[in-house]
Amino acid sequence: MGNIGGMGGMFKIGPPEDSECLLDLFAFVLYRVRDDQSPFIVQPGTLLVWKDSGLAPGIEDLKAGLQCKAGPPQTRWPALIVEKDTWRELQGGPFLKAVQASIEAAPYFGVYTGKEICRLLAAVAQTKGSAEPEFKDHNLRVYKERIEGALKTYTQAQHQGAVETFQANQRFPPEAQSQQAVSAPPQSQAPPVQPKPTSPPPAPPILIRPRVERPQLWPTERDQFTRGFISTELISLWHASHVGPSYAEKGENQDATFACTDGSRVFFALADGVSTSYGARFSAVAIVNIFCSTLQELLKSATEPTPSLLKEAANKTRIWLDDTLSFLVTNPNASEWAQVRGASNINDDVALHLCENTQTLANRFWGPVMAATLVGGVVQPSANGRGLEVFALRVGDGLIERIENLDTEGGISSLLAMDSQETEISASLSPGRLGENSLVSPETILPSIGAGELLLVSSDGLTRGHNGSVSQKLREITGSSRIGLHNDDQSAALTILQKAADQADDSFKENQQIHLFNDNLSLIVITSKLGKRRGGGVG
Amino acid sequence: MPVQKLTNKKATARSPQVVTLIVDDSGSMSATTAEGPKNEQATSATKQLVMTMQSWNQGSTGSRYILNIAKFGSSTIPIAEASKPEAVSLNNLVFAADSGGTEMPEALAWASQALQKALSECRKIPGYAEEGSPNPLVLFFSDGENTGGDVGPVAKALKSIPFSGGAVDVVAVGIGMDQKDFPVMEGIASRPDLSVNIDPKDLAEFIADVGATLQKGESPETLIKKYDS
Repeated sequence: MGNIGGMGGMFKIGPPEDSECLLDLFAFVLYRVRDDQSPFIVQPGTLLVWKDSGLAPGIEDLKAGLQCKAGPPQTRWPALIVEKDTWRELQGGPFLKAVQASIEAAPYFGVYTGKEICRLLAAVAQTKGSAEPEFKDHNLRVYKERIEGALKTYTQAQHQGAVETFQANQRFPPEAQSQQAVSAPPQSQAPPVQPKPTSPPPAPPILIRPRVERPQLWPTERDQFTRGFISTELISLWHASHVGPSYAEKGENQDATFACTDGSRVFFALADGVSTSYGARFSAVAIVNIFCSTLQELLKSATEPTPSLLKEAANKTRIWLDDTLSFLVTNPNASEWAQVRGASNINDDVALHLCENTQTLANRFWGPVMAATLVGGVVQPSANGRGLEVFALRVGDGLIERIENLDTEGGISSLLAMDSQETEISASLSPGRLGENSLVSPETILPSIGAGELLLVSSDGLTRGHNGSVSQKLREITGSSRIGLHNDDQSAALTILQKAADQADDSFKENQQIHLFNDNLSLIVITSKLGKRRGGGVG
Repeated sequence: MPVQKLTNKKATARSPQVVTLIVDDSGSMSATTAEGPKNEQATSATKQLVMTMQSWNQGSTGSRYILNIAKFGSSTIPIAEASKPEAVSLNNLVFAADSGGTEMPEALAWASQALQKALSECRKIPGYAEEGSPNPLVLFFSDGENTGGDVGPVAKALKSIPFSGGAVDVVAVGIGMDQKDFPVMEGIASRPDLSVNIDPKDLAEFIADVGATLQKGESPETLIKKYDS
């Protein structure tokens, strides 16, 4: 069997095109195949053309190819390689060993694309093939400079305990190894890599980062509600989120609200994704859904809601975020990344760095990924039958106000306040240690809602650009002491937010210095139906 | 919801901040410190800084920062000009200490034209508020003697670029520079107190603190004071 593909080996691996990470991985892969005297067969040009073609593989395509023992892979491998005789010839040889080593070690070196691996393999092919001495010598210099550090990186990954180890001979069947041992290559085709380290360290085991399964309760498109209405015998609850005024130019709606009912109780949550946090939109949607469903589940085995139960629900939500982060980091090619990234425009490799940093906190200037604030809880009829009692928790910012008389102006009290000028948050629900720290002492309140009263929960967006209460501002905008709520309008919360956004855009058009509601907007409104029976409340 | 607390002017999509980094890539940058070779520190820290700025740019349809980056030795090699952080290729952010001498005037001339190009791009943004934008920040790093001509005219041109929101802040950072060579850095900086000669082992930390300064909206003086011994 001769070499396949054109030579195409007139390139030098190295900066600026190739990252430090890729060069280290190149050294590692070359180390793994340096003593294999069998012909490499695949030429650098074939690999470079593959990389730049419409067939450019992903990591999963490379893995899939390696698993094809019965015959060549059917997709995204070039015809020159998968041609039947060639594929058979490649089995057990250095090319497929190099592919195997590349994809198994790539995550430890921060390499996550099939294209990069193709280029790396082209450089290995150059080194082990019949490229010009200039290129071989260059590659061997890169190898010599980097192999020590690359092996150290690899060994450290092993010691981190987040990996399973398999001996190299578990990855290749014994018969293939024995074939390698006896097959001497023609001198002209596979000159050995020189110089060989005088005291090479033992061949490291191949490491596989354990695949973490995707957590249950993964949000779906169906969960991405922008509005909702829940009505029980005694409770009415409206909720909605909105991308915000047009002038604010928010790329996506990173606020989310959710509510669900379990008989007489209604569970509610409002989350505000931290705009500079990767995956904030995904996180906000997940948090509101998981917090509510978890609290609902916890209350099945408890007689009454308590602050500690709320904290437990928040903590379980945080653990879900932790599990999600682990899933993402250990599955860098998973399709779920697309859901998490939302409208973020940062590159995939940077996103992965940010995710890993959330776990390690190596760079203190990077905030956690998937971070969002939370205001959530449960509302239920009070034991004395005179109103509703609310158990609410807050992590980060967001506010709760009570309108104490829906039929008159005034009577607004702040139950959980925030500084509308403050844009820095002190806490958020997020994976990693920072998220854990934020849950050490979340705020909890236990307000009541009497007849003719209304409880309003909002994110910080509705506080921006004015100094009054959110309730009062919404009264002004809607021209209604009841902020425009009617039981026959199940979209009332979204209607209110739309009016607020329109008002903000109008204000901005009149004066560009006025930045009213300059953010995503979200709102939950809860009223008691007791008032209606007794002649008050929302009608 | 921005996580930044900005006490000064706020970098937003309508009031972006132009940040220019010019890094010495001459042979002397390969010298090793307790934290590793200076050029490797610069490579790693600059990549991290760009990634940091990429992460801050999320959640906005525009860009809060516009970046210019170049390395220089015997000549100046632009890496990014008037680029959004997410458009900067991290693979190209490599300082290999293989660019020869230390031709400072050419590097400063590049900074002038890159900064003007970036400001010109900003002025095309609908609703751009130059008065509300943070001062453009230029960071000039070098560890050695200027092997080029007089930096005075080009440094003056750079510092004099008109900016309605204030002025261009040029910070000149010596990396363990010989004291006899340091006066040139004082001449490059907008003001003498914006020049500093840092311990080479602190280079990565300094660049990381540049990120913190930008995030907090602090003045460059605050940054310099931390390293001015």
